[in-house]
Formats: sequence, C-alpha cells, structure tokens
Amino acid sequence: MNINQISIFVENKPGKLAKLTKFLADNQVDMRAFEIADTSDYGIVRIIVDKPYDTVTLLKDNDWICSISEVVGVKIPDVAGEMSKALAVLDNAGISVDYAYTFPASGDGALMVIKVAEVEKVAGLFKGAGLKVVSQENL
Amino acid sequence: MANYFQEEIETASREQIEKIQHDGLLDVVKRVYENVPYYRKKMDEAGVKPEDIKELSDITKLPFLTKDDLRDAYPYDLMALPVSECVRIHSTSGTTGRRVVDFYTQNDIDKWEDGCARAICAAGGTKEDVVQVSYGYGLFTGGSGLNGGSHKVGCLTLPMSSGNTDRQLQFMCDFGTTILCCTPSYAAYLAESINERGIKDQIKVKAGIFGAEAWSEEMRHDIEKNLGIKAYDIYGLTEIEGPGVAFECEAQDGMHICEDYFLPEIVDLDTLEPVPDGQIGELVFTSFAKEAFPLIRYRTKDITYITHEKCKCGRTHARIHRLMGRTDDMLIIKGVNVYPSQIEEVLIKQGMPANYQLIVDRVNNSDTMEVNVEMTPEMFSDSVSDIAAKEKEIVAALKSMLGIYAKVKLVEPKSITRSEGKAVRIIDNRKI
Repeated sequence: MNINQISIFVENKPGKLAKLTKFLADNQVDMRAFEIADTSDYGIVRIIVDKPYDTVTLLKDNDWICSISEVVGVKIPDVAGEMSKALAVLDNAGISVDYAYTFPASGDGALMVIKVAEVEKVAGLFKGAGLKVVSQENL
Repeated sequence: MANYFQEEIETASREQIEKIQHDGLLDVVKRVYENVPYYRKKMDEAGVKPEDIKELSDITKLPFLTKDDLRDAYPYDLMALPVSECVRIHSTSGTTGRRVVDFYTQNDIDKWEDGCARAICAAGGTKEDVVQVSYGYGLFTGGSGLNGGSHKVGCLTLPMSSGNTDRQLQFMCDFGTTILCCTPSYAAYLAESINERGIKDQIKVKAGIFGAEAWSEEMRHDIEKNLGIKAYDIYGLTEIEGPGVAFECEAQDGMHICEDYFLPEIVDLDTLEPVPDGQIGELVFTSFAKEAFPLIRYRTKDITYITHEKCKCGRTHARIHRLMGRTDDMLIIKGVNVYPSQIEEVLIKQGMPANYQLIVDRVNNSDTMEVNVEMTPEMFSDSVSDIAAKEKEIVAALKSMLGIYAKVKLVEPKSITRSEGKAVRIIDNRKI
C-alpha cells in the first residue's frame, strides 16, 4: 500500500556520498528518489529503490548503518495549487508532517513523499479526498 | 573452592607476608648498595645507608626510582649481577622515549612464571585447559610470561602471539581454546569478529586473562557478554618483570599482588607521601625478590588504590583496584583532570561501543574536546531530532562525569582504527 524508504547514516566528509552511490551502483540498485537531511557532522540519506528489503540487507551486510521506514507517496499533478490541496487534507485532519520531499513521477506530475506517524490513516485520508496514493509496487 | 597454584604462600598470614617483605627489603637494599654504583650514588645523595632500613616503614627513607632513571642507566647501570648470571632480557616498545630493558636470571624467570601460573589458576585454570596466548612474543613480556605460566600449570599452550585474526579464530575453534590471554581491546575485537562470522557455537573459551592496557568495568561486562566468558584483569610491567605482578581471582574484586616478590606502596599524586588503603594515588613497587634487576621504589605512573583486606577467595595478598589511568595518560583539559577510562565508562553506560577517539585542541586559547563515537544500528534513527536527542544525552553524561563540555561527533562504523595491540585513543593537537 505504501512506500518503503531506506535511511542511511553518512558522515559529513568529502567522498562519503559518492562512496554510497557507487556502492549502490555497483550492486545495480535502481534508485527512484534521493534526499538528504543534513546536520553539521552527518547526514541521513533517504532513498526509494526498486527492491527495498534486498537493498537494506545488502547495506547492513556491508557495515552501513541504515533502517527502513514506511512513508506515504501521493501523486501531485503538474497544475498550480495541487500540492496545497494535498497538504490541506492533512491540515484539516490535524496531522503533523515529520518531513516531505518530491520527485518526478512516472508519467506526468510529481510524487510527494510524506513521513508521518500514522501512515495508513494518512493514505486513507488522501484517497478519501480523491488523491492518488502510490504504493511500492506501482512506483 | 578457590583454585590456587601455590596455596600455602597465596593464603599465608599477613605476619608471614610482612616477614618475607621485611627480610626481602633489607636484603635488596644491601645488595644494591654494595653492587650497583647507580643506587649507591642515589642513596648517598639522599643521605641513607642500608643500616638505616630496619623496619618495613623505613622504606620511605629511600629515594624513588623513575623511568628516567631507567633510561639514564640503560643498558647495564642498574644491574645487581653480572651479565653472565642472566639468561634473558625483555624490553619496552620504546615508543615514549628510550627503551627500557629488564634482565632476568633463571630464578627471576621462575618466579615470574609462578606469578603468571597463579593468575591462570585464579582464573580457574587447570592442566585440562587449553591456553591461547595472543599477547605479542619477543621482547614484549606478555607472550613469554603467560606462556611460561601456562606451562607451569600444565595447560596445552597455543603460542599465537598477537595479530592475524583469521588464524587466531581458526586455532581457537580447532583446538578448543578455553582460556584466552590478550589485551582487552583485542579481546573486544575478537568477540566482534566471532559474532560477525557467526562461529560463536564453535568457541569453547570460558575465561580470559586480559591486561597490558587500562580498561573499565563496563568494557569487562561487554566482553563477558559478547564472548560468554569470565574476564580477568592482570597487571604487570616490563620494568618489574611483566604480567603476573598482580592478577584477579574469581571474586573479580581487585588484583592480588604477588606480595612475596613485590612490596607495593601507593603515594599521593602531588606530595608523593604514602596514602592509606582505599585512597587513590600512584602505584610504587619494590621488586625485592629480583636477582638481576631489582628496582627500589619504582614509580609506575599507574593510578589506583590498594586494600590489604582478606579476599573472599581466601588469598591474603593485597589487592589493587583496576587501573584508573596513568599519570602520563591524564589529560588536563580546561584545567580539569580527564582520564580516557572515564570516557569509556560513560559511552558503555550509554550503550555505545567503547571504541572512541578523543581529540583535544586549543581554539582561541581555550581547550576544546571532541569525542568521536561510532554510530550503532541501535542508536540510528530516520529522524535527525531523535539522533540529536541521543547525542545530547551522551554530552550530558560526559559533562556530569568530567565536569566539562565535550562535543560528541558520530562517525561511521569501523571508521575508528581497531587495534591489535594497545589502543590509540587520544589525539592531542594542542600546541603548548
């Protein structure tokens, strides 16, 4: 129903990000989205990939610190005001967003990834409002 | 039932022990005054003659000996016997200055090995055991000392020396090692490797005798848990003989000094006056039983306290608390004394690995301290604020232990170099 996002601990040092992406490339991981939350010393790299569980196992076996978490993916058509519409659904229900990012969706428009505490509830709310929720299978 | 190597002497009465020490002290002072010009000069300068030493308490009249003396006297000037009477030397690594050597007669080696054999028995060892000695062999005392002790107990001895982890683990599995002897940091590394390879079910080790570097009670619990063993501390130094000067018993409540060979003192860090039992100070040894290279009031630079109370195990020899640091390891940061062992204790209490690096610097004339700690899967979270909260907890725990602020920096796993010998924990970039 939802998307399994992988979060990876990466030190804030030259070459560390390239090392991670090279590792993923060498193992033929197909990345759909990539985002970084950074602090002064380290970053949390968040990725969405084709095979999340295989990728997490691969990362852990190679001493990367990472975790997997469920996020909601909602389709945002390429029309002014669409993103606002989606977020209004959460606002009306009094739900707070931990973080969100977008990336181009297959076909038209964008996919907004939202991290919230209650993933199922939010997916249901979006559907109820006539928005298209994208699951891991049909990324 | 406690397991002794030499029950009679290990459980002798305090009167008997003090008699041995009294006679030994008088004898050694006379020997060095007559045979060692370096000692005679030091004693003459201090205005003390052998006949001034009548009681054990007269030891305070004698001058201290330091590592500088040993360096000055290198190579032969502190010998109490001619080289022809000696059968071996050992030496320090010399990384902190000129090398220091120790000479041994066959009797000296025998007594040293007895000390190591006592340590192995105190850790539950019998002739049925297989002892893997993963301390370095050669000039370093660790390997030969435990090797000799293991022979005396009659154990099958695997003289592995340090390093080559693959081979260590293979021998450990193939020959059913039951007692492992190495540095605590290498034991922690081996435990990690064993768990990584998933070979724990093939490991028969029940006890470890770990020494040659300071380690904390928390690190002991970590190793004991990860390897499923009992971990015993052992103490020694090349200048005195090597490992086996003091060792832990099953009570794991301080290390018994071989008091029939060595006379310990604890002195105040500033005044160098003797302090009572239980009070922290610098450990000082007089190796009165040594024939070739006896040291009188040698300042070890190791910080600990002592107790003469009889132990639960039945041994009567005085115990020193696990080392709390070294006078030369101690860092003064923002005017506060900081021992690396304190940082280790905090980290392990916080559920972090004891593998850390302390980086000290001076910015705008003020000291800064940064502790690099490896991120663990348990601590990691997808949320920056969760990680920041954990970081804050560690900073607060360090502050409460040390009294000063230390920045905590989380680094990737295995990015802090693992040691196969002594761990390098401190990088002091201050230009003073």
